[in-house]
Amino acid sequence: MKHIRNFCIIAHIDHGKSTLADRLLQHTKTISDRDMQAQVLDDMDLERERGITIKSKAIQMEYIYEGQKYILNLIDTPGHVDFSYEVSRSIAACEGALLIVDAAQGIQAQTISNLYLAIEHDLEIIPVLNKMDLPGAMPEEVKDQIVDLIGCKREEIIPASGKTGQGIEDILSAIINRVPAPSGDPEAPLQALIFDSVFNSYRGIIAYFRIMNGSIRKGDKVKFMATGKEYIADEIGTLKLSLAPKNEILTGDVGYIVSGIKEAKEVKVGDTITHLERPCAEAIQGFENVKPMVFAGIYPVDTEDFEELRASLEKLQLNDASLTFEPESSAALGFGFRCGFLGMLHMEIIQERLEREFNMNVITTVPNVSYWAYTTKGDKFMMRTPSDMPDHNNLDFIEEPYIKAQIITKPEYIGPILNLCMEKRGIIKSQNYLTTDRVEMMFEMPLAEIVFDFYDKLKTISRGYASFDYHVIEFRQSDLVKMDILLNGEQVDALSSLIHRSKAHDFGKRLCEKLKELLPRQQFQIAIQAAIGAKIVARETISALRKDVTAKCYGGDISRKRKLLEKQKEGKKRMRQIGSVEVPQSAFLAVLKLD
Amino acid sequence: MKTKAGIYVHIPFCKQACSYCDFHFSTSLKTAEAVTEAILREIQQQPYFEGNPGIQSLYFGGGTPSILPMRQLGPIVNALEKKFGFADLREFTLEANPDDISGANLSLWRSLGVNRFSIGVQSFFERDLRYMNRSHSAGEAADCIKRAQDTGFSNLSIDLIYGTPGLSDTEWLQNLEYAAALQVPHLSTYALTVEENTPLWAHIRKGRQAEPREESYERQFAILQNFLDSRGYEAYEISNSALPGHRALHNSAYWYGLPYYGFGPSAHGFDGGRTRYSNIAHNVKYARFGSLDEIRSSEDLTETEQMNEFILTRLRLLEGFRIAEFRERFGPEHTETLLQKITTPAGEWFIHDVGSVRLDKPYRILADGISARLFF
Repeated sequence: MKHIRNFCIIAHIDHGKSTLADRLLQHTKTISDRDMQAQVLDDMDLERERGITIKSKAIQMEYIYEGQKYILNLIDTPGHVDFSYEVSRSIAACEGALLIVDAAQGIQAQTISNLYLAIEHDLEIIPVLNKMDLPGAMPEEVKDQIVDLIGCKREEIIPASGKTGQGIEDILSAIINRVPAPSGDPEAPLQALIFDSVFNSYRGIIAYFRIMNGSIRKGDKVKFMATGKEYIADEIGTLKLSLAPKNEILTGDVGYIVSGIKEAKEVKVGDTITHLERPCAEAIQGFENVKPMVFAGIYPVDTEDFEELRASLEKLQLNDASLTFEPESSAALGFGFRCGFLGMLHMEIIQERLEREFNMNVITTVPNVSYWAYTTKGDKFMMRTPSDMPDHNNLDFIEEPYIKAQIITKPEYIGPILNLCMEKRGIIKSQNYLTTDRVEMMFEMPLAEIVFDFYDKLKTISRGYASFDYHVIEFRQSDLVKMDILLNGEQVDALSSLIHRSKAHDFGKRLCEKLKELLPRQQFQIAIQAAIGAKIVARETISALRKDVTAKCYGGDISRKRKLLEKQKEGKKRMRQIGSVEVPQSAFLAVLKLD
Repeated sequence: MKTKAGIYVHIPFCKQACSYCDFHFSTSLKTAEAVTEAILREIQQQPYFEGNPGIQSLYFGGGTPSILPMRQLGPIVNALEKKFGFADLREFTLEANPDDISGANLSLWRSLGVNRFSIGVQSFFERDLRYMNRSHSAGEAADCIKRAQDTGFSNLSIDLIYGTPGLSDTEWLQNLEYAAALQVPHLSTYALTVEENTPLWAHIRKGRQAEPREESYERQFAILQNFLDSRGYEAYEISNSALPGHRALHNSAYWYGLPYYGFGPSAHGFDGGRTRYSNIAHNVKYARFGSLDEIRSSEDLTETEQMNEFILTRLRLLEGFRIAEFRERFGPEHTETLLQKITTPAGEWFIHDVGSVRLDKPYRILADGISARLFF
């Protein structure tokens, strides 16, 4: 056990985490130079063929240092705010963390929030200044930031470059010398933390774990404490470039378990594995049931694909337990599913995977958060879609989720960011200079406001020099109204949204204007109206098409014209008919693109 | 009555490139000899359509067939007559540019059997012709019509284009009046369409030429309809109108789904059933061909495609289509589906008499989008 080191990497996207990790694998000969070559040259398909790769969630390296063999377990952390719970579980499985900072870009918000998580878990932090080879590197300045941030000594920061290989040996020796060995009790009952899981179509769900106390043997009867489910450890092993079966995994080590689990829901990140016969007294602290915060309707473009969409979502759920979905129907869009996501990125990922991996054409409606509705009768229920809103006679009040948001930026952007956040109903809570050139701002604001167009705006006003992180804190009472959109008098339920009363008029006006841009002109005039209850608050008109006929089918070239119109008709297929008005998919996301 | 066929011959050469044109042509006459040779080969190799239908119409289009000298035009006509026979031939149209219509040419063409001209006048206004980069002048346009009529050619059609920037509504009406005054019995009237990758398209993109305005299309289309009604022209097809007895026989075949042979680079043919074919749109490659399959691509239409073609072609016609004819070809189920689409959601676009369906006049300018809505 004293020759095991468990560590993770904390880095902002694009700060060179994967390249540096690849170097570590190469240097420890975990992956051969030849494979490395193929890996670098090839793409995702190759990754899939191999089943597991250097880009996987965890990998074990062996390294001889001063004549002694060490086991180094690298545990990956997802790099986005939507997955901060998963990050916290990965961190809980480690004793140390490499803090990788781009020497040209300095520290970003995402890095800081994950770093705080690591410090909270008492991880030994090894700061690495990456991309030293870049002409724009400012090592001294960024070192100042790091020293300010974690209070380390300047010389403890390792200059490195994933590209040239600089610093790799220093990093490996720092991991061995500075990260403490795991400190569990080998004789105690089994207590292992699940920090990740993957779906394999042949073997079911493979759970990744770190043993805190005790040990596990092949064939053991085990129990997952949070779900209460019992399994037999059909296969256990360590995570090399491919799965390496073992008979036993000991205290402090990282491994995987295959036990015929079919559904991802059964394997919850943060759950504790113990023995059925001799269970540990308590589960590892910190387990949470992850709840989706953002909801959107996903509808098949072709209404006949409803069942296929269900099958695809079920398959996605196999390896992504945080995705939830239940059938819903919309007058405008037909039958589809109300899906729950961890956040906006998660939503985008699901949408993309549906289209890429399952070849589904889907319409995604405007996302919304979940609200508590309190009725005059004293009941409360969760609203997941604007159409859940009770009419105002029955509604007492609504609560909406608030977040604590952290933004790190340069001092010159404080003003614009403050304006943006206030526009989004945010309240500034603190402002803190991390270095003379880097300021951290903390806000409390409604989650609903960042679901719309917050990221893009933040990026624009700060010219990319702002990083953003958040977590949900509580539900607060809020004065919200339901805004409906009508096309030629017909309400389009999929375009309804809940909005704060103070912003409703302006919002309705801008939404109508945006829809005017997005709806194609048709053979007749189209009226676009925004309404709160029965009251119309905004209106735009799209004039009728004036000419839509090609001059001639010259020399009898009928085919070309037919194909042209068939293509036009294909395009129409991707649209939805609301009354007589054809609405393209882009319109259903119009709310997101208001400026 | 036995179905008759038409013949279309594409002459892919022009003196000058009209800025809006996206048909296949070359302004280099270097390959004219070789292309003519190849057309002769193609005619020889062409298998007869089923039942070897008689030929009722012959149409030379382009490009500009009127620039082809007699030593090239003559052999093509002779070869066609030899192969297909002209016993049933009623209409022989040659597309001509005003500046080619000289007295000498007129008598040569007459000797070949030409009995109808389609003249690319486009406009009687100089400024308009320059916008389109036409090779003739406004004066030439009027002169050539009179010259043809004086030589005894009364069956004339002229092309006129509306919607060009700078063409006022008054001028457009004047163009039409002028044509009527010249006693031209057939008018092909086109809304200027800016096709991608034409010089006009490029000029507009670079801001060097003005873009046509949609409002003027709509207005000038309405002016056109009024004019035609008041002068006794029948708008028998969206872009074609004629005094009684002067409908274009050849072009009508396209709309009614009758068979036609196509010869020459980029030409299209249709066997009247379900097979369409087209030739390669490349003069040099065409000229070199040995066997037909090197230049032809053909397409067997599915039932859906046949229905869609039926809809798109027939809706362009004044008469529309007879429901019985559709039912006979495609069966009662499809007929039911089609009729449903016609009644909802926008029945007002159609005039739905007992037994037939046609586009109501004001909506003819929207024919494409409406057809697409009816597609299967």
